[in-house]
Amino acid sequence: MHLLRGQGPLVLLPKFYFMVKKTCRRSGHMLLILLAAAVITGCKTYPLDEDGNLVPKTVDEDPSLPSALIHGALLHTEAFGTVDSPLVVALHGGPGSDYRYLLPFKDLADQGFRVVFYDQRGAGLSQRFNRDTYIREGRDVVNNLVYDELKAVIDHYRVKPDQKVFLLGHSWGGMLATGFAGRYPGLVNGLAVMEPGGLKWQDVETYIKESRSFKLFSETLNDVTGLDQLLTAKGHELMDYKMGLTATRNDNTGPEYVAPFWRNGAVVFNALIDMGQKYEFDFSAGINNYRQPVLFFYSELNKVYTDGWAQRISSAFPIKELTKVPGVGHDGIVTNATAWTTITLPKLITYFKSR
Amino acid sequence: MNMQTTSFIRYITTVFIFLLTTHDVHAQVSNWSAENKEKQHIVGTAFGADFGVVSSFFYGYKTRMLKRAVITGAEFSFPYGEKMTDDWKAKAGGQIRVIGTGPWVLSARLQFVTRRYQNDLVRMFGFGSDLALTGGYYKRRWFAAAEAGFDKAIVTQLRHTEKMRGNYAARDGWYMATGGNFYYGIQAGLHAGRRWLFYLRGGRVMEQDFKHSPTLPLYAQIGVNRTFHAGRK
Repeated sequence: MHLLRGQGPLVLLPKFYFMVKKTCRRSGHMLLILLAAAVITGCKTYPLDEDGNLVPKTVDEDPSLPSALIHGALLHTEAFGTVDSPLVVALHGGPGSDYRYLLPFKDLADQGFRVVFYDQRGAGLSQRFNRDTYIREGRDVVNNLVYDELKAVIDHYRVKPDQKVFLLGHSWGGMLATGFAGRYPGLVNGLAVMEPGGLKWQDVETYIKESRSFKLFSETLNDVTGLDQLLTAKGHELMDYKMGLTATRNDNTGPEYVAPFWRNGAVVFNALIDMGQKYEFDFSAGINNYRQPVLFFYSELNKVYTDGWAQRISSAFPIKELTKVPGVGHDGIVTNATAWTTITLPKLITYFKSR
Repeated sequence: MNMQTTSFIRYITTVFIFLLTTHDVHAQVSNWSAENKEKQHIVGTAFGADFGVVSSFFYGYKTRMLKRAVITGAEFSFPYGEKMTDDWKAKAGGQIRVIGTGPWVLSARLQFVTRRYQNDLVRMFGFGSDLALTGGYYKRRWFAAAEAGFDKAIVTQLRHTEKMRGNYAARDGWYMATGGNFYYGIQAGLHAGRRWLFYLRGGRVMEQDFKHSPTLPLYAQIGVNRTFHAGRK
């Protein structure tokens, strides 16, 4: 507009009209371009990768967040309850999600437990690493970066050698908890898992495929695929933001709206899924040596997690107790207040206190 | 916004039906056969996969500029879903025959793109461009060609919902250079009579870093064009 400065609008209007008319004679769509340019130039723009614009800062960017340097990574972590009480270590889903939706587990602190939360490396608000960090570990990535990290978390919070350790994992967290218990059966005094998708990789793949099989003409499919034309991969911030947007709703796994989250970890998600496909991780390895009862939760409204699927997945545990939580889906086992207070929490308290 | 979008769809549909029944027009897929030198209106519709299951409508005008065949036009597409008007894409621009020898023709296309996307957490509205080259073998009754292009999201406005704010108060506003996708593929068409062109188009999509692929890494389209006489050069 500065080109027209100094001339009255009434004088300029006819000139402008004829100019536009002439310009658009062959292609009326030029007008659209001019309008768009006006809109764009009149607006302030923000950089995509500026910390805090689209996703919250991670612990290495925001010192005010609770954190600890564990196993070579600055993890977002905190614990509730008396420091020498039996540890209940919460393992979030994903890979790449965070522990925000598991915060109801804090209720266990009132029951005499030390409840430990942490975002796994590269996930939630924990420190980010590039893809190569995971890839170069090869088939040992789960042992070296996931199980060893969990062991280091336990060591970090354990203040006496006889302090009991319970693992409480949801979804991917349930898979990790199972794998860890199979690897360190003597270290885990109790194991509670909630809808681990699968334990052998073939089952994991089937579960992922079934839970993300959207109808061809559905809004859900469109919500996931349409985003790619406006946002493409560029740094952790944008990839994490985008992953969060695509995890909004999944009618296959339950009626709940997206569970509360801080920030997804897209790089760790993609890396671990890709490596799982390549190396076919087996989270059930060694679990046949775990001779403690396992508390196994699954939900009524997760269409993929049928009774048959729950039987199939839980068959890896020598001793187990299955609980089907009515009226909720995958996340509702924890996030639905009624289900949590009337079914899940009482079961957990009884189970952990019996160990 | 929904009312405006609905009105826009009605407008496009009306134009499409009007032209289909009364006049002559053109689009992303055209037969550049050198024998065809008339001015034309082209209308068309297509169905396929393009970041979702999508239907599209377009109008174009084929003429000659700088001694070359040129098509200018607009295209509107929308994906299927329960909410029909929350996502759409509109393109406006032109395609020009760059060089050709006999039946072999290379054309270039540049389109200005406006997009809208919405889910439960965010509404995005953006401007971008789509630049493509198409080269192939064009006969009067049929053609086969290869294409490669780059679809760039130049600037995008993000407006987050209350549900998103419940998780994190991401900053609303305009963001520069939010994305871009390369695509390459083939297209082929067959004329039925003088005025109807049926075509297929398909290929692969890659993100601009050449490392990642979109969730739907392929595009495919089946479409039909109807041309209408608009005078002779």
